[in-house]
Amino acid sequence: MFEVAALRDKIREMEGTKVVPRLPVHAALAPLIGGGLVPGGVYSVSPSLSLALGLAVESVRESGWCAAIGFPHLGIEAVRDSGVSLERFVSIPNPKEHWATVVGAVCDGFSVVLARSPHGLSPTSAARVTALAHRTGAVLVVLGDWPGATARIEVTSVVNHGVGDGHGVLSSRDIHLRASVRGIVKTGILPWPLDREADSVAPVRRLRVVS
Amino acid sequence: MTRVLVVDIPGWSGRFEDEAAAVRHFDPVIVSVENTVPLVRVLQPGRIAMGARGPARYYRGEESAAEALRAVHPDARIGIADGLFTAVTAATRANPVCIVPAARADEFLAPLSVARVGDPDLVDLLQRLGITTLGAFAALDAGAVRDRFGVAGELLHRSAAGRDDSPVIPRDVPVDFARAIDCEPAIVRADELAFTVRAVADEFIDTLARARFVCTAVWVTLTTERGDSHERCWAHPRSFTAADVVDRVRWQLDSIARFTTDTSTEGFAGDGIVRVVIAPDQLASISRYEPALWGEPAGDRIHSVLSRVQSILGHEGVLTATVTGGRTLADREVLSPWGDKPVIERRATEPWPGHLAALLPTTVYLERPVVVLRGRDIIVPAEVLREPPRVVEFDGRTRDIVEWSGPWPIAERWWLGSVLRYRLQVIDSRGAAWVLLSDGDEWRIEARYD
Repeated sequence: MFEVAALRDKIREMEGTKVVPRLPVHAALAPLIGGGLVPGGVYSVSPSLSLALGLAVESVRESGWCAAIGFPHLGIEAVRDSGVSLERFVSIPNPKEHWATVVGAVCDGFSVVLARSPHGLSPTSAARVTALAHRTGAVLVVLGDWPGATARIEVTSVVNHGVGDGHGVLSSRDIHLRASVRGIVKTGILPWPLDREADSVAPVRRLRVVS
Repeated sequence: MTRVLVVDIPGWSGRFEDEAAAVRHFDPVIVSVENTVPLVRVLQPGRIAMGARGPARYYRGEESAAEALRAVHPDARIGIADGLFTAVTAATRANPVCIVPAARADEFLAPLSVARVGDPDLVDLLQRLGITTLGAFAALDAGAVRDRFGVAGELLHRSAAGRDDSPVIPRDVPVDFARAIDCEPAIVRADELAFTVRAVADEFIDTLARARFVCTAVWVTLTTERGDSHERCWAHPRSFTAADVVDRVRWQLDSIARFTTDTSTEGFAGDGIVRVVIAPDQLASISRYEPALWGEPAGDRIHSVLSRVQSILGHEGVLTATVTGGRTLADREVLSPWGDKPVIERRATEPWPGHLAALLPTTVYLERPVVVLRGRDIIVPAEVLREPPRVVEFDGRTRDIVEWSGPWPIAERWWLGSVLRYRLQVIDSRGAAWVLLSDGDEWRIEARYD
């Protein structure tokens, strides 16, 4: 299995596929997905908006637009607090049966697209959306399953801090993750809020050129 | 010489994100002017012209007419003069009313800068020739001006001399360009209507293009079987393509359908569209718009993508978000359609006692689902916790509560005697965190951390 992957990489290298630098990602997530987001990649994640925002925020912090598709109950204040600028953010709450068309359209121009995967999306439509993301370089973060995703990240458990028996207030959460990229599984913890020091996660380089 | 009255609200377009919003928000002002004077022409968002004779007769004098029209908007300025050009100039210099007496337009205009004629190339040339005032421009020989600057230059020359007598045509609709479609049988479905309108929209835009015009605002009138007419002006940030026109027709049908089902028991289903009229409201010379066809600035890419999505999902399908003031989480979000300026009712800068200031949840329910909160023995009443909550039930599922915090009261208009609300945070055995809100009767889910 590993040899096939290695061979495929080798072929890609020989074909002269250009090496694109990865986009920055939150320090807690970088080691899980090979250092950064692959432009045009599709990330399939557990239905956790905190995780989705954690993946998105660094690549749109300075510039670039972010769209959320299929979240009619998005907490706008949490989006803002995560570091995503509302000036460069749009919500398309109900794409209805046009999910694939809308996601495809938005990929052309937006840096990061967060989308809740719809029920019963045909593999053909999914493949078309994947191809569109790949062509336009938009990072697509799908909350739900996705065939042939660049990486899969699931939430294994969450530790909440601050709330006791009737007192306190929720102050922070540790979101425990398991990520798998091309069969390599790694675990990590995403702090929420994102700017909190992640105690149990080692610091990592933000950018790494990969071939 | 025609007396013309101009109502001008300075800086109107600058108050809105784009031209479409400026036009939409200007509609109520037009309507309130039309209540007073029936035939008006919209020069641009924020500026209306009309014949001055009617209002002057009705209000017994130009001064009183000007005073009456000032009431349409607190910032409105009124200019009355011979001809449109002089009246517009008077309005922009009014404070808040400027009336140039009949046959005195040339004296009024003479000392003003020649830049007011508006054509930048002509102005540049005149200034290099040492002609800096309208008076100096007007003093040039009319024949020489026509030879050198053509018909357009001649018109500006007449304007500068206070001899602009172009008629004030109400709403500036060149009748030739308007297109009507009669639908037989009546059309109920938006996609069917779009299909029918498509060919006519193509022809509408083509005819304009052949006349070297682009359309930046269009009137769409839909007439229903019952004989109701729904008229609306749609503006475009650049200029309309045929597909854009079709979209506006569809959106208008959608909005009528929504409006009708909201307010009448009969609903829209039985009331199809029998006639569609598309008419240009504002035209611009194609030459001024051609550069946009070649190079688009970067921000236009986002705009064109989102406009396309709006054409699929409707105007309200794409939302921009703003955080505002308020006590409940849903109150603190303002979502407005792409292209519209958000309407902020509660200011974020004011203190909002009781709002959740700590870690903010990623999911906020606008319609809060009802839950049942159980303690060891009893259902936990909504006003006070008589015993610790153990289980939260909703949607036919139960979740065990492992940690909880609160309830905190949310003081809201207590001086008006309204109910105190309470907020509670609970964490279930799977690590999911919830914010519950009670209105005194029931516990509801306000938000979730996910």
